[in-house]
Amino acid sequence: MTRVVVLGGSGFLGTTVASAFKRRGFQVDVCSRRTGIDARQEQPLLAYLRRTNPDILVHCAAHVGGIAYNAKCPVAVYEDNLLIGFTALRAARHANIKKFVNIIPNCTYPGKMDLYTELGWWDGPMHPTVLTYGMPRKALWVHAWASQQESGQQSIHLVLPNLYGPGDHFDIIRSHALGALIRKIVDAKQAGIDEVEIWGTGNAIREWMYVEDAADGIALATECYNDIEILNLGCGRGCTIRDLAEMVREGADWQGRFVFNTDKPDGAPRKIIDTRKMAATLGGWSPRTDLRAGIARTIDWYVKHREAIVDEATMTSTAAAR
Amino acid sequence: MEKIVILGGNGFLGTHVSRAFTGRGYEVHVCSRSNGVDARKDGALAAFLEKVNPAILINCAQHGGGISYNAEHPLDIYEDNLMIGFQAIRAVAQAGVKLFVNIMGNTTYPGVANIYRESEWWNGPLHPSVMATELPRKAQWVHSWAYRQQGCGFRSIHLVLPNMFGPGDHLDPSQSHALTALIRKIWEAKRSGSKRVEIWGSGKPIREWLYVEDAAEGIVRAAGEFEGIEILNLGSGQGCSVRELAETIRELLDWPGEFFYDTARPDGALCKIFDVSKMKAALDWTPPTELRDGIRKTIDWFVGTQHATAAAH
Repeated sequence: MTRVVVLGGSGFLGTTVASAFKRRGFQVDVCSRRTGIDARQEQPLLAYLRRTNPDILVHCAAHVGGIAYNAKCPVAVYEDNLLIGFTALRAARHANIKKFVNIIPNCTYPGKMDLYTELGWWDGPMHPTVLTYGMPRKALWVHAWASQQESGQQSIHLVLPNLYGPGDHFDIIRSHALGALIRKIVDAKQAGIDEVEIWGTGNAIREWMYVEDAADGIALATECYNDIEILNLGCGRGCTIRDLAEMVREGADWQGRFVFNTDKPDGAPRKIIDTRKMAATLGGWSPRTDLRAGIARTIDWYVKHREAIVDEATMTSTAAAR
Repeated sequence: MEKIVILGGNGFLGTHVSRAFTGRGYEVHVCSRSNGVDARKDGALAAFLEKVNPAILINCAQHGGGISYNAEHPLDIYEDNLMIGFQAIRAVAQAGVKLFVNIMGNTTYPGVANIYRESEWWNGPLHPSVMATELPRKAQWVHSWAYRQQGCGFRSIHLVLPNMFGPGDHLDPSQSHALTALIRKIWEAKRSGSKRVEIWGSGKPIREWLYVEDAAEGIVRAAGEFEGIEILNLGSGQGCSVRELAETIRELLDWPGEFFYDTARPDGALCKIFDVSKMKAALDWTPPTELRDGIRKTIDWFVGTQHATAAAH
């Protein structure tokens, strides 16, 4: 049986990726800070990988937040992500793992690019709001390329749009736009508040991928893609933050109104992924989940877990303040 | 007396940078593996900086070599350069160093760029032959930028330099710059009485050459006067064809032979030169050494080393 270790496997994406591999019959182990391994340090990670001896390492670990978090902690975001990637690739090589899977956010594409085509990945600067998060992932691609040249280490590099779904961060600082919207709107409804503030103009266009679809695509690409050049996974369709807010309002059955705070940054104006290479490479595979249906499921999950999340968020921010 | 630490201070450029800062009254400390500091190791450089307590750290360290070495060892090169830069910036922050100077080569620009303009630094992929060496330099820029966004004290400048030449270049032909390699070829032809030197390509491609002492002076000036975190080109902005270079060296060495241009070899890009308008505005300076004078000094130095080697035998 093929063995997979999911690094960052306790996180939002990592948990779902672990399930997707299990469904396909892989033996899956999860490695994360919650399982006691700090991937910024090579020795404990290498010892773990030698013990577990997997065929594949999927790197989903990240120190991640939204653009507000990146602005608040740029050094920690850059350093942690750089070190985790650097260590993970080296440890995978030293443990003779056959395949390394690097998961990359689409914010690594040039900030001014409208349609994210794989061939244009290096053709312009990243948007400053995501630079410290994105650069370590691009550096990791170069590292993996160098490793393939010199030592023959095999790796694939998958670029994904913003993800959403059950289990997302709902922490007000760290969540992505969709998670933050769901939290704000559901909380407003529960508290009887009839106004919700949204950061930015509401015009920014983003592509959203349901996390289970992302995990499914990652597992499939791991099985059938073998080239070092990056491969996009996504739906190839976008939606404005404003439209997204409307969908959440309907899903949460809330009657209030939105106030767009244009003092806050929008981030890049538009991010849509070109999925032509994906369609050709993965035999016509595409994400199955409709945005409205995915949002409804995410709202349900949040409503059920709201109390626990509020507690955890408070604890996290208290810990961060120390 | 203000102190300065130079990473890679024993290298070709580092030696000249060290001399230039000493000339301005700085106490210069060279930090390299030969004096026991492995900058790749977590905390090693920070401990060194805390001991010396310099105002400035300059990173001239570069694990790299000629094209064939780079092609064979991209992984070692990438990992060493990435970790040296990463630890250097962390150490600067930790030890309270006021200024970090990142020295970069023109190959940090996109492989297809012909005029190197600062505003276009990110606009394309690096050439594969230099990706492992140069991506870490660009990562250092992002890392420094992150500290600045965080509002943590130190200032950093990021200087991009063209090909350099001058006294003290590597003598090993596989490591030396093209200009020094050409001097060697012609000098060896003269010594052996050969009337023919082969040059790869048509001789037409135009490249920019910076005399190493000018480079060091430019770095000193930028360290004193340039405030921005955005990259700054240091160069003459003037190019010279391989053919002109070869002719100048022939004249100065007084060699009576002929060049044979092997046009079966690829030329690469026709022209690669710097846009130095930002440098002129920011530093009110241009490199003073005429190419011909610089080549003469380099030849004097080179011939001197060969005579010294011959005398030693």
